Amino acid sequence: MGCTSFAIVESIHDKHLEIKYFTAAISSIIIGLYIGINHRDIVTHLVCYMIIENGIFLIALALGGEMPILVNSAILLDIFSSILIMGIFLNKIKDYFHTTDDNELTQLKD
Amino acid sequence: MIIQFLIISIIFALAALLVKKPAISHFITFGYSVYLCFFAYYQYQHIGQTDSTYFRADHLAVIFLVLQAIIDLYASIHYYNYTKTRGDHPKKVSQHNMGRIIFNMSIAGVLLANHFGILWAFMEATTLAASLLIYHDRTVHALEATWKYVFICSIGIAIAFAGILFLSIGASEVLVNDLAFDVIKSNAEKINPFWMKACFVFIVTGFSVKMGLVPLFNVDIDAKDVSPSPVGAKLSSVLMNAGFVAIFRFYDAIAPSVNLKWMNSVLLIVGIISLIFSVAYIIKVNNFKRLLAYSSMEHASLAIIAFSCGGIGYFAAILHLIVHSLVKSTLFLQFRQMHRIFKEKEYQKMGSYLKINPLGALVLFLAYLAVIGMPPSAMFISEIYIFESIYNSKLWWLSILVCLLLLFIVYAISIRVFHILMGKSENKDYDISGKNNFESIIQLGVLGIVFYLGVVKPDAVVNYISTAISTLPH
Repeated sequence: MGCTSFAIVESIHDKHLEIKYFTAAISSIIIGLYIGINHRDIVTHLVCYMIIENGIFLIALALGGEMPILVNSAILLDIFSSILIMGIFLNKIKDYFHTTDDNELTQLKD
Repeated sequence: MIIQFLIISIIFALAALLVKKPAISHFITFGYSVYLCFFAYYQYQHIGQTDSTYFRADHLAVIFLVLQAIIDLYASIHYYNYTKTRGDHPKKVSQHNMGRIIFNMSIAGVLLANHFGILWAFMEATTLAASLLIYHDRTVHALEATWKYVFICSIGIAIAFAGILFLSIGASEVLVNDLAFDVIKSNAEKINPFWMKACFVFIVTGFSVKMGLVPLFNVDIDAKDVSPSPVGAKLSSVLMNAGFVAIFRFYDAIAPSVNLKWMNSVLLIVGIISLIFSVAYIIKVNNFKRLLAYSSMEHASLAIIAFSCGGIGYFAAILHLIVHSLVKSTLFLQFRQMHRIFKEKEYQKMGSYLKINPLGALVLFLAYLAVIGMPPSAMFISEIYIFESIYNSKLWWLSILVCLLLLFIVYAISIRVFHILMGKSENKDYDISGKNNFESIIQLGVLGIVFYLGVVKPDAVVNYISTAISTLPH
């Protein structure tokens, strides 16, 4: 994953970019998606979401510039509340199914 | 005004949550719907004015805001009846009402936003509010659908945020540090095209979860299947319009640059693949509510195909979404009566609806005619314009493909609707007390608006939509 992301970033010839942050960011997103797809546990899915969000924050660091503070705090509030809500539903799933395995969540079909 | 709107919405939401009696909670929510109508009217009076730096009411925002106010009133009348007949626990009702007020507030924020970061933040808020609405029934299926919806929507919105950051990278190179629409639009030729292309792909992927397009459409379908019908009606209409406005804003901002043709190809590919997927599912689905959800996906993909072809396609896409909002919400709300009468969601187990509930069957039949695009309805006009825009672009052979796919969809929907209206059902017992003529008459009124728009094309509406798309390249 790291090699792939390094190859992607090297192909972007851009002077204003901090390469080390951008490589780490893209590899975080790719690794996060990989973990989310391959692991069947719901708690792991929550971790995968956090890894992706961290990668996105690293892209923001790679910029060197800044977003206005109002937007940054709105983003903080949104991520915080989405993790809160996912945690609440994770608890309810654990209460009902007594397991956090993904195989229980297959009832909704055509 | 918008800051006051946000504060008042939060006060209403807390009030709706904390009251003990459902009747007062409903009254507060109804009061909020009326306030939303006044707010939409206020924005209509103050078109084009920037409010609190980050919000601006332009024509597109006002069209969809007015539509949101109408559909909110429409769905709230039906929701009151929904809880009265089911005898729901007061805590469920209060939480739903709070969720609904926050949902409306977030959608209004998305429509009015003038800054890409604010648009993103309100889109994330719609996910969280919608999760509360989808989890209304507290069953296993509702839990599964809500978990999937929150998870995939959050990932989608995170990918969209990556897109906004790429745009920010491109903009900061040319020393543009503000992410407001007009600033980006006026500097679009200077920004490196690579970053704008990366931004647009990530944005379409991320917001496809809201609009119901490939690649992230599945969770929307499950959510509309499991949630109560008034909630499904709002998810199909209001949320899809918000997703479209988000994609429209990025398209509009990036359009002056050399990327216009490339963006059109991306949208066309997404639209065609979504149409193919929706056909593949519609022809074999048995659950009528899922059929309505896949049909929403089909109409969204038609709007995106028209939007990508340009010219009159811009007008067609917006008109199509307006009419689709009214018709699809009517279908979902009429399905509530069908579900109350037959207690089943599968179409084979429903039948002879024309005899059992004539007024409801009339609503279902007229809404079916409107949804497949038969002449009196405005959907016929918008589909004619969609085909015209496809012919005018260089890809006239695409219209043959779209015609074939629409043929399959019309066939699949027709079998199901006619079986429900006039066929023999597998089980013979039904509960006649589910009939509600008051609701059916209101639904007929909304369908009347749709047919009025189609027969008498009011100049006011046409001019309004034309002004909304006048900033796009023709």
